[in-house]
Amino acid sequence: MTAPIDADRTMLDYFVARSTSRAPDGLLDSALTAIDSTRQRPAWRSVGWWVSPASADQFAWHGRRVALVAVVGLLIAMVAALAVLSTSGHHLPPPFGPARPGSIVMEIGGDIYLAGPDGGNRIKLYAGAHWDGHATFSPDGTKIAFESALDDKSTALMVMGADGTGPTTLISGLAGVDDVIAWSPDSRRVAIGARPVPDPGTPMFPYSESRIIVGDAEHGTASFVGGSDLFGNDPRWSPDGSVLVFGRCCSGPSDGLWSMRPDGSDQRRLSSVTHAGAPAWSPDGTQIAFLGDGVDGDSDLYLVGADGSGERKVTDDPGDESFPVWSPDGTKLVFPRMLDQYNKAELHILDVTGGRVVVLHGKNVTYDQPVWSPDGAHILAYAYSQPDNPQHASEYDALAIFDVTDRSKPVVVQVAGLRTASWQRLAP
Amino acid sequence: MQRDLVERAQRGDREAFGTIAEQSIDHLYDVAQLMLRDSDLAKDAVQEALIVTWRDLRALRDPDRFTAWMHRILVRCVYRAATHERRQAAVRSLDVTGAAVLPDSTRAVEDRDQVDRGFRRLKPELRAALVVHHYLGLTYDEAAEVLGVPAGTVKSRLNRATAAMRAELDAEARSREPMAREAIR
Repeated sequence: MTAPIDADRTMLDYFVARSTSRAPDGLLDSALTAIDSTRQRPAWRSVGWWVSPASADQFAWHGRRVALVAVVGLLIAMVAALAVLSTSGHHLPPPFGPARPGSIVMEIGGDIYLAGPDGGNRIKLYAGAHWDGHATFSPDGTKIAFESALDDKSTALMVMGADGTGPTTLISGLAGVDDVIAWSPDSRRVAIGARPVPDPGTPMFPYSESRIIVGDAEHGTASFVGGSDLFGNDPRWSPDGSVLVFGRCCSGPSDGLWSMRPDGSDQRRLSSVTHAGAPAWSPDGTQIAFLGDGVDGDSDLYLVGADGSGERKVTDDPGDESFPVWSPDGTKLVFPRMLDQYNKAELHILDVTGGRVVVLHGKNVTYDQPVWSPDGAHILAYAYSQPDNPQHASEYDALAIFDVTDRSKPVVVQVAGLRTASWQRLAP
Repeated sequence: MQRDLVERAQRGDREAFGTIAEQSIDHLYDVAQLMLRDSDLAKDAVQEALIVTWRDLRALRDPDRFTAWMHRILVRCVYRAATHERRQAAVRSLDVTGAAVLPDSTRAVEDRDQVDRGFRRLKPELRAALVVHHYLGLTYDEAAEVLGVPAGTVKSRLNRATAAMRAELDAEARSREPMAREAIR
């Protein structure tokens, strides 16, 4: 059995034997050199200033562990959030290019409806006191912009959620509003051509020409841009959102296709083709397709570079072409070509690089702007259920869904009172 | 430590802090090398402790508590250096250069070697508790302030450290007895 150990005595002896009388040479100098380049912290930046020394030690001692736990917790939360988003389908598509087709929003009988990708299962989203229409999905598929008639017979530009919630008026008191509402690529702003309703007692038309309106869908505001003497219509956003291109008509020397910043500055004429309008940016932002006067007074399709260079006429025939729309991959253009005085048309698809034109089967569509599905596989157009009856020529009432891949006859969905439609883009 | 030196240093007087550092560095190094048993790590810990002391000096509310406050900073720097030591996992030679050479018997040297082996096996927190209590002579409450733990934790650490040291010395003693009997025979 060993003898008991006097811990106090043993440890003290041990420490005394191992203690040193002086620090190694150079340690003081190196420490002071380091201190010379160290600034004193304000007292408030030290934990000890705010809490007791014991608490400060606890804080400092556990700080790294707490930080590690916080970082791990944050990572877990992020992974969980990503998992939830990926399963809930709430992640957003890119602002342009192919996307997954979602719902279709339609104007039917002056109200706004939401339908499935096949045009069926329609539910009413919004019904104001009067007409509501021209509903258009934002590029990210989360919002819908639309026009709504008011009691004073003017029109308001409005936005709401994709599920019809939160309808908000951006601007009211408008007349002569464009049929197409243009969303910015970031889905935060809209642009449209319209004219302000003049004061009572003054003539509305033709003294008040169409001007460009830019609206902020995030904050619920909108205003005319470019000054009171800038008349134009059909504004469209460039894919990077930095430029609006628009048409100017009927004002003489300034007619043509123009561009400007969204705040109305830096106005430039890209083309002097008369009656220029319905511009459409290619998804890569390098080209603009637009309509303008042809040689014999009809409406032809043009292409011009984003800087105004390389303008060329794409179609040159006696018939009128109408609203061009780019395919999501930017290789093709679809446009209605009018066939007769009853506004009947057929859809043409132009291969932009090769120049080849393909005519889709079905000659009963209207000249209204067709809709290319977000995945590029289908095209929506509006059709007449009684195409040969002149009395019903102006009353189209069907949705024609063309399959671009096999160019078979379209599937026609009867929708009484149908006017316009817009296809929701979802993340692939 | 003179209060006026601390107050001048708190106002940014580097010369005053230089004096403080000069007066403190031998003691700081002594404590650090006792806790760490490694001169290189001890030098790192002392240098860092002096830098942190200077950097945070304005947060010291009571200049009379400077010494305890600086000890607390040193202990934290020792812990950090010990962590570095564990990460390095390298065999370091024990640097006894400058160690006080005291008159000693052969048996006393053997005992200290045993203590040294036991001490080195302790965790840094336990080594620090032994140093501040047995070598600096601090009470439990004072040690608690320097170590940044409750007084009860100081007691438990000392108990654990002492028990570990006792076990080490007992094992050494038991291993010596057969050898002694063998030598007598």
